Formats: sequence, structure tokens, C-alpha cells
Amino acid sequence: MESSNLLIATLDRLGAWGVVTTDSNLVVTGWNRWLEQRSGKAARDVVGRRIVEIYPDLLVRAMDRYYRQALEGQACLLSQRFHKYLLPMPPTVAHTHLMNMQQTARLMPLLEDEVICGTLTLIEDVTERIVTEEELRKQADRLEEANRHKDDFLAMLAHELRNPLGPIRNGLQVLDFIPGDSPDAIQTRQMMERQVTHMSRLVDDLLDVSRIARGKVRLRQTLCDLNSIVHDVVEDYRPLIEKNGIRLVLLSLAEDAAVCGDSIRLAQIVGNLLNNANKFTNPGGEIRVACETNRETKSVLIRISDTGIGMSRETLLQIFDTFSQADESLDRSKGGLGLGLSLAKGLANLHGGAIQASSDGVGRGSSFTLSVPLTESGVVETTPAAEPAIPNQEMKRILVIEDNRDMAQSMKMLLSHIGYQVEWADSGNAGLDLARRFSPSIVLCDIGLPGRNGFEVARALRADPITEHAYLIAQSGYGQDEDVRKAHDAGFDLHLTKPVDFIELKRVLSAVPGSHKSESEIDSSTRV
Amino acid sequence: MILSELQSDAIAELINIAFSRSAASLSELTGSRVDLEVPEVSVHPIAEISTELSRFVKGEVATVHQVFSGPVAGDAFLLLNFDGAVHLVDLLTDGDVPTQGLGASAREVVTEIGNIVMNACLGVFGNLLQVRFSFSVPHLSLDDLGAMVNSLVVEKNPMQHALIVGARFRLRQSEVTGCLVLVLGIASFELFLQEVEAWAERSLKGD
Amino acid sequence: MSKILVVDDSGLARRATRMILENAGHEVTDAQDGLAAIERYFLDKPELVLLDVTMRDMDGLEVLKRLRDLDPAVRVVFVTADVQSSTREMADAGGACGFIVKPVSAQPLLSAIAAILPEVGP
Repeated sequence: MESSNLLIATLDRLGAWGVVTTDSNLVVTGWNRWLEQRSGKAARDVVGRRIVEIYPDLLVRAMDRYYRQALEGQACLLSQRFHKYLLPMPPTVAHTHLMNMQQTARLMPLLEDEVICGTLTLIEDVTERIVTEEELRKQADRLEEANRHKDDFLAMLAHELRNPLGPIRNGLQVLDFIPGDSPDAIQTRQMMERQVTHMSRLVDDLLDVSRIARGKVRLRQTLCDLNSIVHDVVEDYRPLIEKNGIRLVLLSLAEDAAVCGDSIRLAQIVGNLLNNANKFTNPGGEIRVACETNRETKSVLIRISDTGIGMSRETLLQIFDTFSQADESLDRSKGGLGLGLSLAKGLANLHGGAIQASSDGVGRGSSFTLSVPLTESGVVETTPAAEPAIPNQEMKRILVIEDNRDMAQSMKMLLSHIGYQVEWADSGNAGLDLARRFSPSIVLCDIGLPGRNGFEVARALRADPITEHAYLIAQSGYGQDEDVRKAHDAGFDLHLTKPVDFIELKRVLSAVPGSHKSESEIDSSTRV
Repeated sequence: MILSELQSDAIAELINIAFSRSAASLSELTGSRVDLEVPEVSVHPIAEISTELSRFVKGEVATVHQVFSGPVAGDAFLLLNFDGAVHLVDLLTDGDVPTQGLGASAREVVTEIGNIVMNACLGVFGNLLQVRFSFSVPHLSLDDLGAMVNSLVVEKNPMQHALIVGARFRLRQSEVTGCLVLVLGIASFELFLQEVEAWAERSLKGD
Repeated sequence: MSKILVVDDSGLARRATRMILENAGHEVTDAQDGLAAIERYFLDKPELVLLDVTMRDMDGLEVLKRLRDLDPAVRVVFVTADVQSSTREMADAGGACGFIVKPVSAQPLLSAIAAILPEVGP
């Protein structure tokens, strides 16, 4: 008895664990403070009674055999994994489904003069570790799930991107055989353009989603009227939707709804929601777009409801997930990447707004509500689309420095077509040589070039009296602030993020000082 | 140390019985059938165990160590390939325990398995040879086989001998190979052989 | 007196079992693996086979299956250290008429044999 008190005192100094000692009849002789606190049983109520009497659970779970083995000289470790716990005690971690403190126990014989005189049990509380492990496991499962979704999505993406290529390739072959101005040729070109437009939209959506996910989207915020943006988008979509036999109803506000936002992005949100409604509504159905302002929450609400196929509760929960449409339960026949809603939500969030989806169930229509915070009334600017300017032909010689041959040639063809004189070089050095002979007024220069990169080319052009006054435009796949700053430091006037849309490029060129003046900002360009 | 035919025959049968009991204990703990192949038993001076061990385990090994005391005293080691140990934990826990790098819970599982196997085995020795063994609490170490063998050879008296038992068992369609090493001092080893021989003779008396 | 075939890969086990059986007046032949056991069975026509489970190449359960294919009336008692209940169930399912746990001692072994071969007391 005394020796077990000494033993327990020693073990208590060694660590935080439960310590039980028994004699050779398994009558408890020692019970430490740790156990008193965790088990709610005081030492005086326990000492002197057999352990299996105090915890009959040991017999029920056949755990008493380890005590018998200890009396035969065998020490053992009882892992949490195989036994959960040795002595039932309440869990020590809050918010867990576990009914008992999880334990790892060590049992060994106590010897006195080489004779087994009892047992010693050490109990370690491992509940917290087990809860953490469970959390980790759940997290790993979730990641695996997300990864699987991404794989499914990639498979679908490849498929969706492959689809338009067939008709385009066919079109190219057809154009080889028929006169360029025949009605068939015109129809073929229209078909090819539709396919290219479709594909570009897919790729743009993809880029947008990835930019939003990485926090790389910059809004060009101005004060704008959401009411009129909605009106314009609805009218843009009206022909497409009505062609599908769907009625489109717009309930506009009587007054302006002034919000601070990027008008192009806001239009994209409304467009995506309309497109979604159109996709999932059958002919004969109706899409209703209602604008209202909520003075209490100081926000504009745009509610787009349809009489379409609706959604189950499960679908509703994941409708805004980036890769949700990869789920086979959703209708794949409608095509597209299913990024529209995820994109719309991301963009709405960037505006400090939100989108909520609701549905009364499958077959009972869906409703999406966009809310955007109202701005204190102010003058709403209208930003008219800039008219493509006609270049001042005698001035404009453009040098394209680009190592991608196809990109360079198509740009050369298009720019020549609208009246510029264009030369092309496929490396930094060739570009510098050509620049001295050609003396361009504008240089469109790729950044990632073989040999001298774009930054070095710009510095060399600025250093040469022949080219120092040229307008230098950098083109690169990277649009981060750092890249823009580096372009500026190297001497570029403007930085464009690839892929550069030809219409945008036309606007940029027309805005180059010394030509037709137009100061309209271009979405993907950044003045440096 | 050269064993007589009777000695090696008797040790082989003793190990066979002991490992069958270990397999049964493992089966009881895990609720799955364990199929044991005939264990391979050999005795070597401690300095020469490396080659024999590498027939069963290689590279990173998980070693469960227990000291046993009594008239026959020594060290018992159960060696498992690290991958084998991870695999065993996965098998026995239905992948519920994170085994990446053998975390705390997985280590405990391996330790308890080693504990069960060695206790069952040495328990049979004790009963049949009528020698009382008592065991310490098991410890797990993860080390390279070479380093593990070195620590054994360096720390131990060169007069010591090792009884090496290579065992393959199948569990839920997977094969796991492990190796039990009993390191005994010369006096303990001689007593052990004496007791083994006595047991064999008792058996052959046909009672 | 009966003719009994003892199959075990352990020489000690074969000799110990032989000793018990011969002391009780039985005639014993033995084999140290499965193939030898099948051969001996047809050469010696024993009334009973005592069969170990854990053996190299062919385990006892497989040996029993082969013997039964060749002689459906074969009488086999398993003698094994494998105390898993699943082993006993597999032995029963394979048609064994007895199951004895190693290490064998005289009394349980002889009573098991007597129960199976009542017509020929030792």
C-alpha cells in the first residue's frame, strides 16, 4: 500500500496520466488524482475493491484477460485503435460524437523480490489526437472528392473544347474547294465564326473563373445604373431566348439604380444568369426578370426566375461550385462548362453583392436573385462604346515582334487589312534590326521572346535615336501589377494581357497619341 | 553453436506451436483469419545475424522491442518492413488510421501487434518449457535495418546468440512478412536448449 | 489395433505421436508432407489419418480435399497448433472427423481415436 503510494507519486511527477495499482487479486491499491478528476470516482471509494467490480465493463468487453496476463508476467500495450478505451470515462474534448475518453493503456506486472505481487496500469488520454485524426481524414476525403470533381471537369473541358474543332476543320477544307464569294463559302465562314466565338467564350469563362479563384480580377469601378445595364442585357438576349419559344418578361425600375461597379462585369453576371435560365427552360416556358430596390438593406435586387426544370435540394447546394456541372446527374446535353453561375457568384461577391438560388424542386422552376449594394445617388455616367477609329494611314507603321508564327501572321494580315503597314520579326534581335530599317511608329512586342526578351528589346529601342519615340506596346500572358511595373520600367507605353482581342487591339491602336484621339479605357489593357 | 537434430527439431516444433498461437491471438484481436506459413527457424551468433535478417526484411524496418526476464532472460524483437507495417495497419484498421509516415495511432497499432505476437509466442515457451518469463512493456522504433542490427551487435555481448524466426502470414488476402529475433546470453541460451530438450524427451516418452 | 497414418512436417511431432499410438497398440506409418501422405494412404490403406494443418507446399486442408476426392470414406483427424475457430470450421467443412490441439498428449488423442474407431478397441 505504501509502496504503491510512492510509485503513484513518482509517476504523477513524470506525466499527466491515469495510474492504477492493484494487488495480486486485482483489488485496487492505488488511484491517482488524474483518475479521480477524470472518472469522478474518489480514491477512497475505489481502493479496496476489485477493479472488475468497479468497472464490470472490463468483463463485458473481455478486457480482464489483460489483467490476468499481467499477473502471469506479461506486460502489454492496449492501443486506442483496437480497444477504444480501458476504463469508461467521459470524453475530454467538447463537440465530439465520442461517448468515452479515448485511451491508450499500458499494463504490467508489479514485482516484489522477483514475485508478482500485483499490477500497474498507466492510462493516457488520446481523445484529442483521435479527434484531430478524424478531422484530417475527413479533410483528406473532401480533398479527394474535390480532386475527383476537377478530374471529371477536365475530361469534360477537353470534350467541350474539342467539339468546335471538328466543324472548323471541315469548314477549312470546304473553303479550299469552293469559290470564296459563293453563298456556301459565306455560310461556312459564318459557321466557323460561330464555333470560334463559342470556343472563345468557353476559354474566357475558364480564364475568368481561374482569375477570380486566384483573386486576380480587377474591377474597373465607376458609378453606373444597374437598371439600364439589365435592360440592355435583356434586350441583347431577347432574340436568342424568344427563338427558343420562351417568353421573356422584364420588369424594370422607373428610376436609376446607382451602384458602384464594373459595368461590363455586371452585364456579364446578368447575362450568365439569363443564359442559365434559357438553358434550363423548355419551349413554352417563361423567364421573368424583375428589378427592385430595397431601401432597408440599401441594395438593388435583380430576380431572374424561370418556369424551367428546377433543382433538387442537393443540386441547389452545389449549384455555384465551380465544377458542379461535371456531376453526371446534371444535364450534360445542354453543353457548356457549367461555369456561368460560379462566375456570376464570384463577380457578384467582388462587387460586395451576392447571388441566391432557390427552387421549389425538380420541375418547378428556379429563381436566382442578384443583390448589389446601392450607392448614394450621384450622377450616373454613361460610357458609350468607343467607335473603332480609322487609323491615320500615312503615319502608322507597325512592327510586330512575336515568336509565335501563326499569331504574328494573323495579326499582320488583319492589321494590313485595316490599313496599317506591318512588318514582323520573330526574335528580339531580328526585331531590333528591322526597327532601325523600318522605323515603325508603333511596336507590338511579345515579352517571352527567344534570345533577348521583350524588356531588353524595349530598352534597346528607347536607346536608339531612330526608334526612341515609337509607341511601345508590351504583350504578355501575365497581367499582374509586378509585370505591368516591369514593362513600364523597361520603357513600354502600354501593357496588354494576352490573349488580346483584335477589336480591343484596334481600339488601342486608334488611341495611340498622334492618331485619332480616343481616350476610352480598354478592359484588358493597362496604361503604364 | 551447433544444435543437435533433436534440438533443432524440437525448436522448430516449439516455434510452430508458438506462432500458431500468435496467429490465433492476432486473429482474435483483428477479427480476421490469419494464415501462417511454416516458420523458418535458425540460430546464429549475434555478430552474424545481418544476412539472415535481410532474407526477411530490408531497408526501413519497424521494430517492436520487449525485454523479458526470468531464468531465461533476453530481448525479443519483432521486425516488420516499414511498408509492411503501414500496410498491416491499413489492413487491420480499414484505413481508418492515418498511416502517412506512421503517425502516433498507427505506431500504437504496430506496437500492440508486436506485443500480441511476442506475448503469445513467449507465453507458449513458458508453458511448454515450464519456465516463467516476464515481459516489459513493448517499445516501437523505426530505423534502417543496418542501423538496427548495428545497435544490437554493438550493445550486446558477442557471446550472445540470436534465435531468428522468419514468418510469413496472410491476412485479408495480403501477405505480411515479419521476423522474430530472440537475443539470449550464453547462460540463458544453454538453459533454453536444456529446457527444449527436456520438453522433447517428455513428448517422446509418449505421455 | 488399427492402422494409423501420421502426417506432420515435424520429426519430433511424428515421433512423439508414434510413441503414444504404438504404446496403445496401434500400427503406425508416417509421412512428412502432403504428397507423401497421399502416396502412403494408398499403399498402406490406414483406417485413420492424423493430419497436421501448417505444412510446406500443401497444407492439411488441401491434403484432406485430395484424399476425399480419391477416397470419400477417408477418416481424418486434424492435429494442429492453430486454434483459430475458423480453422476448426474449415476442418469440419472439409469433412474431418476430429480436431486435436497441439502439443498432443496421450489421453485426449487416444480417446478421440477410440470415439472414431469404436469397432476396434486397442
